[in-house]
Amino acid sequence: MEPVIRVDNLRKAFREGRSVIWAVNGVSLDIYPGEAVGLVGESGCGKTTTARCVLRLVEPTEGRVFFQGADMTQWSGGHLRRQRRFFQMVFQDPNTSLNPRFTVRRTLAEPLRLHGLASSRRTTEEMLCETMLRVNLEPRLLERYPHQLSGGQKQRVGIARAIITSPRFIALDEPTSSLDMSIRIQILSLLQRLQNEMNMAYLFISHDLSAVRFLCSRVFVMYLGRVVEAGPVDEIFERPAHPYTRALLSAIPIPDPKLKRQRIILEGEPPSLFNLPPGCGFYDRCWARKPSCRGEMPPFRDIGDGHFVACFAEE
Amino acid sequence: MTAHDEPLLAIRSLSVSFPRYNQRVRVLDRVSFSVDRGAFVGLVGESGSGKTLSSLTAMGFLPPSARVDEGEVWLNGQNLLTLPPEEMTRLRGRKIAMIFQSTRSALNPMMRVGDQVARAIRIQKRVGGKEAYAEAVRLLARVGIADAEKRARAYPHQLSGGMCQRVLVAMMLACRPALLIADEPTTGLDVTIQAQIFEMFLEIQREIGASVLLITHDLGVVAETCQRVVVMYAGQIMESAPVASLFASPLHPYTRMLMRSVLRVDRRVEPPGAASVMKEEITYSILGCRFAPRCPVALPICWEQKPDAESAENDHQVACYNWRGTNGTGHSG
Repeated sequence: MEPVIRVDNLRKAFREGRSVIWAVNGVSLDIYPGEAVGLVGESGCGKTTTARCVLRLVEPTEGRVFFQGADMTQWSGGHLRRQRRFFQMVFQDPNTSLNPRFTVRRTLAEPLRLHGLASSRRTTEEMLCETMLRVNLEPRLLERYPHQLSGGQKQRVGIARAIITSPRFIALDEPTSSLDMSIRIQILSLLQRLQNEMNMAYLFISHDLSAVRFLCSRVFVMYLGRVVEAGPVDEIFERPAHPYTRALLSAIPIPDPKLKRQRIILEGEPPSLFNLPPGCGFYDRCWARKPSCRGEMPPFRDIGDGHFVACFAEE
Repeated sequence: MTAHDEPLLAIRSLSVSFPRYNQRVRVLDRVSFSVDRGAFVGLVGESGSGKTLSSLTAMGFLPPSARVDEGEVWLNGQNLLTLPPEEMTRLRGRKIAMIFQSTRSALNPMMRVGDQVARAIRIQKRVGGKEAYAEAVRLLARVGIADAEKRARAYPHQLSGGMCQRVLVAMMLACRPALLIADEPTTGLDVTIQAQIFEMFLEIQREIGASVLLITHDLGVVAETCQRVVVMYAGQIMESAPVASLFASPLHPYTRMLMRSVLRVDRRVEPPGAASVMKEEITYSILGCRFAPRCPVALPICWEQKPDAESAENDHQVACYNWRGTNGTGHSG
């Protein structure tokens, strides 16, 4: 089966004065139809930049991105715009990603108009109502402005805007991190149901690993612009191999007072991207480091069952 | 009467309201709970539940538009609500202190962090400026700030969020309060930094022997650190219990709903059934239980009259007329 999205050695540099940082530094991944892939890591690890490059919201510096086999990075502006209906994005904060001066109706009708998807006023109306019901919103809310909606309702509108063009792929950038937990699980369940109904592929960007466990089937763990570990969700969560992933998972509290766990507390904070040390970026905080880790970047190795890790210590 | 039998902090039937148009909205409705000496109590709830407001009232930090309609806040045998402001200022820091979620706004952006910690020290002790500064550097090192001498000269914007939270803990260490209110102290920080800060915080808390009221929305943090939990919803207390008891058998329909919506990293959680999909609007105008509009087992009386906290078992209190009716999972009526 052909992947919907294939990312090949993606790199993205940002300049500040004379210095250059590589926010994304050689990321490769593929996403198959109907699959939800998680991309996790802490602030500044490059997960959002990766997603933005995949959708060409920012231009990658190096590397290629294929959408259903076609090299998107070569597309002209016009062709890219026409294709956008097939790959959409849901943003973290609906308060800043919905136009406060648009009613829900206008927000949702805009993509239909831009892509010429509704031939008449009646079909537009039908598609709006159908999409609202799909995301569990009453069609009467179409006349509301964002400030008249609750946080969860606003995020449902954000999702409705993404799915109304029947995309093949959606990048979800922390879609639940501004929501309360009882609402969070409802939004995640909605995303799961929509994915099954519409056979869409997701790239789910999150620092919330419990949400990834809920929604995704595979996960990529990033640190300082690189993927350090990847594989099926259950495999990675049960048998994390990279010292960073192990620390990350052990740091998350589990809501069960009977459980007593060994926690790995990392020293220090991630180094600045402005002066990255050679070799493995995690070296300074790693408790399993070896002298060889300083010299060169560990290669991304297959350790079985679709589980990949970039670490010398894990041999 | 022996002071030591009393809880350190006791909030009794506290109601606070804000003006809205021509009415008053009661954002805290007859809230009662206490923190025993040496206890570690979690106050949990979602946005708008009143958990932060309860602690702001205790600190005397209510905004001018707020009005305390009734109730008492007892700390160490003193009703804080009747204290004159200068008395309250004297208590703050020494007896009761708070660390906030937004570390950067809790620190003065115009002042070097070393000076801020030194100032906290001088509130506490009569020492000279130089001595206080030297002590501040020592405290900054104590809370795990590497190269403390140099970092003490930094302004808050030059430090990471984790570092700023460490500075706040250093100030708390300087004041050694009897009661520490921590309002989402690690929210917004990265997970590995959260773990670091929390570990350090617990160590310092044990060192100074402070009792803690931890305000959080994270039931994982509660399960791992607290002895007791108080659950709030829309300005009312729903349930309070020892941690083990609350997680083993949540009694209030709201707590049960909350527990069902918790995601876990150690296993894949099943999506909630359609029966537990709830409306999210919070209604402050209901006279009775404010969870009634979302409650699967609400009775007519729930809308009319607020249920009193009822002792269910072993120090486990629940404010619900129909908690026995909820033992089978969420059967909606």
